Amino acid sequence: MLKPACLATALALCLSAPVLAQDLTIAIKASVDAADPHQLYSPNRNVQLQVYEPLLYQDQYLKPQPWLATSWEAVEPKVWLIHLREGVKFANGQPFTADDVVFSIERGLTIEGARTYRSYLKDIESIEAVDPLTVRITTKVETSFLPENLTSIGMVSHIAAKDATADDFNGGSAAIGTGPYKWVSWTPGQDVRLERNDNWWGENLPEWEKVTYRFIPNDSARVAALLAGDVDVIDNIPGNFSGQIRERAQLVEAPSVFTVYLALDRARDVTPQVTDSAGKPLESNPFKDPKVVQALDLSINREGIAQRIMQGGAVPTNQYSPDGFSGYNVSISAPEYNPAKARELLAEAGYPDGFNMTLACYNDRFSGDAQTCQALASMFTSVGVRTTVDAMPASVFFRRGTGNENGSEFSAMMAGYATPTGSPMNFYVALIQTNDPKAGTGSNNRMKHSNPEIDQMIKEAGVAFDMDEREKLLQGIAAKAVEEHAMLNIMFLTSSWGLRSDLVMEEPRGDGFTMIRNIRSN
Amino acid sequence: MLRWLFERLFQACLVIAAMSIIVFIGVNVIGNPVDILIPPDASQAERLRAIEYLGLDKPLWAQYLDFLRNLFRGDLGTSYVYGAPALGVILQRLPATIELALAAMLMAIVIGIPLGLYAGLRADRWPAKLLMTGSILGFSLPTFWVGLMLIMVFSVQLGWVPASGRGDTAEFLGVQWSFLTRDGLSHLLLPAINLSLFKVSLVMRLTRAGVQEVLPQDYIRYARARGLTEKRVIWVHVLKNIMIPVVTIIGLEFGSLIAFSVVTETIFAWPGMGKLIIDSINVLDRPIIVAYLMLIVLMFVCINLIVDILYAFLDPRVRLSARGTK
Repeated sequence: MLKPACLATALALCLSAPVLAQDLTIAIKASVDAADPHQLYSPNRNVQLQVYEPLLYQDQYLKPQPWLATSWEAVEPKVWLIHLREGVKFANGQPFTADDVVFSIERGLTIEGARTYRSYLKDIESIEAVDPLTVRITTKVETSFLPENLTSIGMVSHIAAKDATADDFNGGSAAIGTGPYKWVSWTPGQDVRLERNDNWWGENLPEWEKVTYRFIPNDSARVAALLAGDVDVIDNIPGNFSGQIRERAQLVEAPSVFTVYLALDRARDVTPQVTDSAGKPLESNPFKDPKVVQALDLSINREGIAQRIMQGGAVPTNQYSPDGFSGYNVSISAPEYNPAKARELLAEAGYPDGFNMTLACYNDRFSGDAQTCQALASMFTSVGVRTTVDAMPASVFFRRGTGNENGSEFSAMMAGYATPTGSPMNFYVALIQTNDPKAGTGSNNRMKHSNPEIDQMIKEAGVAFDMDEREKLLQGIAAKAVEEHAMLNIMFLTSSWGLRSDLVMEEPRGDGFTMIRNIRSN
Repeated sequence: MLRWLFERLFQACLVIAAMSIIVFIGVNVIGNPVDILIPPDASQAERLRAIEYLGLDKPLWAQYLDFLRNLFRGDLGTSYVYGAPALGVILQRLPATIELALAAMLMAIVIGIPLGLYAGLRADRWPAKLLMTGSILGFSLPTFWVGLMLIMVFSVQLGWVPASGRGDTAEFLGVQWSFLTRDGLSHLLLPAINLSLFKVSLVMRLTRAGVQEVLPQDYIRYARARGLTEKRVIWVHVLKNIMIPVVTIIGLEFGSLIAFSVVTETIFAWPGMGKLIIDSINVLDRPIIVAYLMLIVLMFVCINLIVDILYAFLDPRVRLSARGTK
């Protein structure tokens, strides 16, 4: 009597095993490699954001918006009050209060590990709970960018996460956040499984009960998984697959803050990787002449790179922020492509026969990186600056780019930059402000660019508490930096997703993160 | 036998020591993992803190001494990326790789040996010739391309099996295995085929060559003259004698399946060790690289040991000479 029933159940289980209507499977390119939300790594943040919410939410242009904090204000230049949302509860029902904020920020500032949120919390001197719904933060220096820096770190429970180990965060007792999802399990190299938190405080509870983020690093395999119906959503679609996705599924694109730039050694009197046509080192550094830099800028066909090399997977630019993002300046004219003028400028600068240089770049960071480098080299060569490409893995690139006490081993390098905060301020401070270890500025400014005027403008923007005025200053820095060719920015990579045809994705984010909340069935 | 075993183990230790020194120096020459781990807008102070945290501020020889000191306590270091003991991180991935490698090896044996026997015994017939031609394809087609084709045909076009991943797993001996569930098996099928294609061809060709070498020999003729059945001649007299090269190759290839299945693992998003080591090299996660290589050296030593023991069973001459050295 029992046997047929068992068989029937087994059969039914087998047959119903494929996709349940309420489940969603997302395949992502980069693997999550930790469950602890305070070990900073963007792919981890992508998934952790669904579970551990930050105080301020980033909209599609990565601008800070009220979330767990409803408002914030600088009551004094170095003192901030953060007002928390009422009625927010963790997934286990425990109310979310100022104690949790204090605990989370302090944990972020003291946690051990190579990758922490300290870079974004470093301005914080102290933090205290004023009352259950108010937090006071005292900063070490005057800064108006505290809100931006609070968008990245997720809030954990001061009770559940106290002395928590890595295992506790992997589906254990500490894996409790205020977000719409609960962290069920993370299997290294395989997937992260989430379950909906039906007690979520937000208004529109997502429709997906169970969500799996699978890691499929190979681009072709990820696309195949979507086309085969194994997964419902995939991220990071290289340009050469976008046609296929458009045809057989659905393509969603958004400009991202990932900026591809070219940095030239304009600081040293003699630069290592530049020679004359006979191969002898040049006695003076040609990049110190603004005309040479401008000539190189004019010889770059950015539109061609974005359309041909990246196959539409990038937006050409000479700016520091994409359209719609903070720092985007409408009045900056579009980059010009004019090889004839470039040749003239080189001749005027005293290089009628050009010179030889080596362009260094990495070849394992984004799809199309080495090809873009090749294209740049041939464009420079065509105006007379005979360029050799030196492409290498990022691990080698950064060491050689930093160099030794004599400075970088490179004279020209192509690389990419993106900040979790989405604010151009981080870009300015890390890449174009004068390198000063004491002040913590110019840490990624490997070519040692230095312009006191721009430095001053960056400092002013840092303490501008009026948001409109600050935005104007940020745009002003962009204009100045573009005019002065502080760096030659080439393009913003496009964030892209492939979706099953009957799904809809709203507000695709400028950091390429996949928010479950924004995906619904049609 | 025992002395020989000790010699083997001693050799392995030397290899491991040499390798760990090479990895230490090599990683140090390539670059600084901190540059890759910290965010691009991290300040100089944060960079120094991370370097200090990982112990990279000490001179290389001091780092190596620390490593040796910990090694004797059974600690292979903590992964820079995962922040967990390196050996644990690797062992967590090991079952997936072993499962895939075993499945592929099983296919190679179950398919390769009978086909090879057939091709050797009936060398003149057209199916045998077809098999031999097919095996050339098995050798020469790149795993990468075959994997993608398998996915395109069987997953995307026909929709018979899933395109990637490990599927549902079930616990056995405290470890999660795919082959115990129906869903897991369907996930295992394509990557195992992809990985085994080369090995099937290899085993098949080896078996065929062995059969053709053995068949004209006197003892086969005598066996036939003694009136033994054809079945007994083939399955006992022929097969047993051609097994030695086949077992050697299977042993070595099994090692390489485990150590280098990275291409298949990447295409099928199979969460094994191959992917882990490539990722670790990219971010210069030295503790993982060292621990992984140590494990692989140990594994090859063990496999060779097992192969040698199997020889003794298969070939009385080896058995006798081993006894002689005692």
